[in-house]
Amino acid sequence: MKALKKDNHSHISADEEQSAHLALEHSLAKKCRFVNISLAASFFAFIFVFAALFWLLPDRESSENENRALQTFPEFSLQTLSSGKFTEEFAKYMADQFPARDFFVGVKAASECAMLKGQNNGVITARGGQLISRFDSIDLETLDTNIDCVSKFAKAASSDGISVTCAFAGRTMDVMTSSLPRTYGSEASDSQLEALDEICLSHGVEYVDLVSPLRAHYENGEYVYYRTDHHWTTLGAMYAYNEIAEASFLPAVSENDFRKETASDSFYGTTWSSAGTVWTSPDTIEFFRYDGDDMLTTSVYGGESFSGLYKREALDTKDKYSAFIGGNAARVDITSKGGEKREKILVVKDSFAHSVAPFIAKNYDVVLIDLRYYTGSLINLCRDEGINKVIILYNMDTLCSEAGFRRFRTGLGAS
Amino acid sequence: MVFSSLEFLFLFFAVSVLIYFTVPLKLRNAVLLAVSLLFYGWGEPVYVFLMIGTILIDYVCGYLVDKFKGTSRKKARGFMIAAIVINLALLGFFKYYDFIAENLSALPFVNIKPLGLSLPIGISFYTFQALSYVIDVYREDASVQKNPVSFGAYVTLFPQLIAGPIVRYRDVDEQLRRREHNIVMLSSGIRTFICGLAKKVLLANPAGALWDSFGSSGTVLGSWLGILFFSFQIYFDFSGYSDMAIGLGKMMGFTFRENFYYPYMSKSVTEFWRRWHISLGTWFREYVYIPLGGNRKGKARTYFNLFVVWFLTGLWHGASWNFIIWGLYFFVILVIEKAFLLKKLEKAPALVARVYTLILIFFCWWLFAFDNMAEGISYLSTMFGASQLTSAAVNFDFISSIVLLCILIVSSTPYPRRIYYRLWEKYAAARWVFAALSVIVLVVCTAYLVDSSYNPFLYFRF
Repeated sequence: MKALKKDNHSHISADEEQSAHLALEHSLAKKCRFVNISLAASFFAFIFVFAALFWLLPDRESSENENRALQTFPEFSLQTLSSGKFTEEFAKYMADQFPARDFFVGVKAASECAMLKGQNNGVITARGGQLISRFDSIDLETLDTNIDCVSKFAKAASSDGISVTCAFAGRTMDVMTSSLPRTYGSEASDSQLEALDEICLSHGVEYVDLVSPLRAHYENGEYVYYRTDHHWTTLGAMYAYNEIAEASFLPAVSENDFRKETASDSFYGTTWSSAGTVWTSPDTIEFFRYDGDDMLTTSVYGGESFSGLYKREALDTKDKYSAFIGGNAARVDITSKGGEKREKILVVKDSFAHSVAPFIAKNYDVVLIDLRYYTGSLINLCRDEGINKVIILYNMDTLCSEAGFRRFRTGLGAS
Repeated sequence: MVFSSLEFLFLFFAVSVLIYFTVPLKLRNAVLLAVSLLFYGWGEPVYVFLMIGTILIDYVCGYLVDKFKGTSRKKARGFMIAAIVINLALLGFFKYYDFIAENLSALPFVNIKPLGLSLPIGISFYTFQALSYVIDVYREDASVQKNPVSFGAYVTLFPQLIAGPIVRYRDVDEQLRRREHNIVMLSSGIRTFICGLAKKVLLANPAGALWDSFGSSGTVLGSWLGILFFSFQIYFDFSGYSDMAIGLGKMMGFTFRENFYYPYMSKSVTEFWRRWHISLGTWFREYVYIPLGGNRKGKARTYFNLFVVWFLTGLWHGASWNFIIWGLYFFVILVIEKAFLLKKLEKAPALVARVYTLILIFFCWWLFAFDNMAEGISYLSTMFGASQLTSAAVNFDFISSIVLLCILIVSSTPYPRRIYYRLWEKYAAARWVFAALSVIVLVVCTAYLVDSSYNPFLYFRF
């Protein structure tokens, strides 16, 4: 250590410090023998055990936790090797199939938390353990194109005598501004919602604002959005339904009209999966039941039909929200079992509509269309099936992304 | 393949180390060569042949230089020059062809198509290493390596293959022939490696993510913070990588020289360059500056020599004008310091000298960050107020990264390591705590690698 005292700032001192440290380590070799051996043993044990487990454990096809397909062993050929495709996919394969992946994801979240970051993977841990995905900016161009498509469809439909109601929902970030850290606050949300207003105005699209009413309910202490997921709760969906109902002349509902059934009290949503905060307590999913709802039939195109509005098998999986009308599909029809004639409403939507659908289905037959998968023409669908009411229901996140909005224009003719 | 990846740690390293330590001592260089080629080929399957070609050329040239140096100085010199020309031609072709083509095409009637070849990983590093060998043999600073396997192992040595340090042949000559493997070196190497891994995964990557988000915020505060975090990213990225290389070397009985020595503690830019990427500075001094005459041929010649060195240092960092300007930026500062400023800085309070240095270094990273001039200038105008002051997202990210910032600052000083060794020397309990901490840090680093897809390596394409 003596060499360190004369710190002469030339590059030689780097070497001096290094060799002093090495000399120190060598001089203490006997004293440190046991600790050195223990360190080396545990280092190699960690590496070898996980290397072995990685190869021994069977590969998983998909991750329930993250709700996506996992990379499996990549195809090997001279061509994929020389193009770099093999090595690139292999890296993904290792990260996706790594043993105890969920444990490590939790360790990372915990250490970010220990560094007082207050966020992990783009998810802010807000007051009360509320998890909120942040969107600092949105893709204005896509939003503009999407609203333009909506407006073209609405114009064509109303000239056909079809009434169209647009309703746009907020993200947790828009509704829960009061729970966000003060520095983050509502600035991003405000400016993005303002941009939505302006774009809608310029395209002549009027919409039902679902942000302010739900924000008011939230600030009132009501459980209107999940803590661990990006969706609204069934209660939030009911409030949203009432807002839509008012604009499009559907009957309003109130909490007393329903028998609340706790469908699951162990729901961990998608926001929780990105945040990795394993210590967050789960959400509760409720179904708002009413007389005759189990007499309805939900038919999923390209899938199976079931009676009632809820696919209860989904409650045993991670993605419990997909219990509502069976989750994402190109087209879902809700009809009454007896075949009694009811008016039919078309809902063009993202998944936020899934928990709203049961309220609409109380009085109407419903056709739900997801334009990400549905390729047909909406206007022809209305004409063919005698639909006079259309509800367009999206949340801000979908509105700003490529989600098949151009298909609103399918069949409108070249205008 | 970078060291801070799952496939390195849990596949390549696990297998290599197992083979390395099971074969007898005599075969270990051969194992090193084989696994190093595999390591290289993993990322660049085709360029493995280029690598083998380089090894053969430099092996033969070194051999011939040695053979003739006693009898015909002229012939020996000729073979050394041949090696220099071939190595630099390969480096020039792969790294600078497109840059030259593009710039010449700006002239009227010249139209050279760029080839768009990908850069062989580590070519800037291993070319300089191989050159140091032939030149050292010619200068009789190192003895010839007649065993092609050992020589191949030196050029391809996977710990420093793709990002240095640039190990001079003479520094490892002895170790290639005979080196000791013992538990002290092994556990010291493990600690150094884990420390480097943590620098890369726990400090550089998060700092880099912040540079991305602050840098693109388009606000005054954000753009200053952006360069600040970029300064930390580049330091911890690169020094972390060097530490991992040094650590891996130690595990296998090699002692590589330090490549970084707390550069952000410097009290002048001259000093900064004695502490930053030491192996590159040393290389340029010994193989360019001194052969050109150094400072022994008068003032004018000294400045010219410095100009050449800094022009080349800039160019070495990348085939783009901003790197050349970056190099010349240092040339100007170093000349001014040499002329009179250095003496004044030595007399000035340490704080003044440090702040002066850090400000200049801060702006050098601005030059370094943008290979597109227009983007760089618009970034600079954002920094100096041509935009809103701050935004909620910037404020939030700043507050959320304060602990990280403190860790980055403290880790840039020599104190943690000195305190570590002092405690380690004195208390047995401290040694156990540190050993346990090392393993915990390894687990946490693994967690970050499993979780994150954000793992770029800045010096990878050099």
